[in-house]
Amino acid sequence: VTAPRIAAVTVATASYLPRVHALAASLGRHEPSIALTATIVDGHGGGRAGGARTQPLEEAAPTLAARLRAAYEPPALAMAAKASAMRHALDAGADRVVLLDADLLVLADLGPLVHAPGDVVVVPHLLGPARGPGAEAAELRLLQAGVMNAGVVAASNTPPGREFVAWWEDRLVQACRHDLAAGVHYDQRWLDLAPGLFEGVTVLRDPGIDVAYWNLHERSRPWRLFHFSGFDPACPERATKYVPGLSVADLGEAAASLFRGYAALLAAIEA
Amino acid sequence: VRLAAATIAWGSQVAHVRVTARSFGVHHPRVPVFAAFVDGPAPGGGAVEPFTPLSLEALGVPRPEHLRFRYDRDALAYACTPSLLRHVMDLGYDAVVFLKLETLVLDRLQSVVDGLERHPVVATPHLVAPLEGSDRVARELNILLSGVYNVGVLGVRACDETRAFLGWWADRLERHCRHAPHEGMHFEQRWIDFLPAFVPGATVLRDVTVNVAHWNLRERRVTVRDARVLVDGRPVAVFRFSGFDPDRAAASRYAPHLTPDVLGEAWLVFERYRRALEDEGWTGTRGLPYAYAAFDNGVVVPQVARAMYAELGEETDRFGDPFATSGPDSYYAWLQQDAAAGAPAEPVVSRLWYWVYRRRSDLQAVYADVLGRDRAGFAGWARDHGCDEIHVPRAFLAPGMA
Repeated sequence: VTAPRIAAVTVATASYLPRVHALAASLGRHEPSIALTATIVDGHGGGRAGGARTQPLEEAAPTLAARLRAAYEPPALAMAAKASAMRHALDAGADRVVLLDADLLVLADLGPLVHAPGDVVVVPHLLGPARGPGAEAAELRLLQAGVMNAGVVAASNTPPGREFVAWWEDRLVQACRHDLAAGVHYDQRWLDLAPGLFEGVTVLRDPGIDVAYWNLHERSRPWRLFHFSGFDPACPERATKYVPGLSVADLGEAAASLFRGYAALLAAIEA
Repeated sequence: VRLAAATIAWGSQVAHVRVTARSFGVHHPRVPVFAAFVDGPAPGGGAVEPFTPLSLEALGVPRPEHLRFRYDRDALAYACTPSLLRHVMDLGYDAVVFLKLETLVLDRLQSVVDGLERHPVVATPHLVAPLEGSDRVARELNILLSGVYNVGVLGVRACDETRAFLGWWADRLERHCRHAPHEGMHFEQRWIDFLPAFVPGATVLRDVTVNVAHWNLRERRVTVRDARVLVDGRPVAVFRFSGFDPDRAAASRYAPHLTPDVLGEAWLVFERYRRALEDEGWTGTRGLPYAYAAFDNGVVVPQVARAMYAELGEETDRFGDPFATSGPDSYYAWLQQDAAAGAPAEPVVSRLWYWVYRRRSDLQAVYADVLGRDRAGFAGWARDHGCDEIHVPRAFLAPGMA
């Protein structure tokens, strides 16, 4: 019996290459058997970013690249190409593909994600109700943006897994925009439909996977996969551009030191 | 496993409740059906009903008079759904199957009952496979706006996880049971998009025989063989008639294009449901008045007054019974008072109409100085157009304007 071949993919703009580099290095440290392929949507050709192999959009999605480019500009273009990057990895023979946003960092082994049962794995933003005075508003924002987070998605090379990827790819070609009144929030809200539409969808409720500013209050250690969503190393004291006024220090000692370490890591990569 | 079924409605829907309860009883003869009526005890004049009636007070809804004013009839029933399920569990049942209004049970709900053996919650998605055809994106987005899971059939098992979930759901519905898709709300339904995230072990029942309804009829081939209704060749367990008007030849007011021609054999099920409603007294009960439609002086409560009340939140405590109209401290009097503090001005621009004004940029453009020189113009708009446009009784016009 051979171990399943797991492939990791990410899709990003060239401005995110340092993040891709950091993600690849952290993945290599904790999951050395999983290689990362990064699809760079805006012009960067083949090459490497740290431990990641990079490829242009035309390589990940030869038949769809032109349509995607006509329909979207970066950064929406990178979101719209996620399912294509997953399909490309499955076509290349991976037994399971794990999509990781470039602004994630691997902090421990990813066993609960990589070996989760099922053909499709989706990850919720929250594992329980939001807390505090703004709880209802926070939950309503997620009902607009998506209960599941499109930063971490996995699919197996099985009929249901491939069906899911083909469906998501088709929907993203047609509707990967921000239009809350129409029920669209880029790539993300589509994922909420997955548990109904496909067989074998696992909603992964693991406290260490996809830890981020929106769920720190409910997460226990070990943090395995940390999401620096909306973090800009040029403003290293701001936790995210999505919540004005939320500083890194507000997130507590452990997270704050992680953010500072991440900013330093990106600076070192760029230097 | 002690199993119960539950539904919630209002007096003029008693025929619908009877059809649901009796059809469920045919296939689950020893399982009791509890029916909550949001406007008081069940109507029916002493008939032996196929359900056990419950009042809103019995459900333990906190301060039911607030909810009865905050929401109109339909939204009130939706908002009280989690409290109903919790109450039936508290009566000692191990598992409860919720069946929303407009439901016909055609076979045992075996997949739901089996699911509840292993899972704390069993939810039914609107769609169980990707849609095809040129309108696939539009139709799937429509589901994302109304909710991935349909509350029409929802199974819950008595356990701590379920109680916590129902408590959270009831809490959110106290304030947020409105139709506002762009805000992430579709009455009670969108909230349960969180189910698989919040409840460990909650399961999604992908069974084409449960919750056959207008939103999936195009994908599910319905055939009728004598008394048996089949979908894709298998016996249908639950057929839903969401938005069905027995006076019209269409599946639903939400899907007017689904006419008898388009529906084929499926239309026979709608006809059968209409006959069942008639047999259960629809003609004689459909006109029963809703007990909380009007203030105690008979003036119909406009939707605007309900929305304002909801927005005021705890501040409404000072009014006492919101339906009462006597006295200067009543909510009714407060709505009618001028929106401007200070010296009285003519004609009055009441709080109710000012609230409407603040939400309408078109009115703001025309009557820029609404509390000053544009008072008369705006009051004239309210009289000539406003009352009809937003369904406000003329009793809310300024004195001298009616």
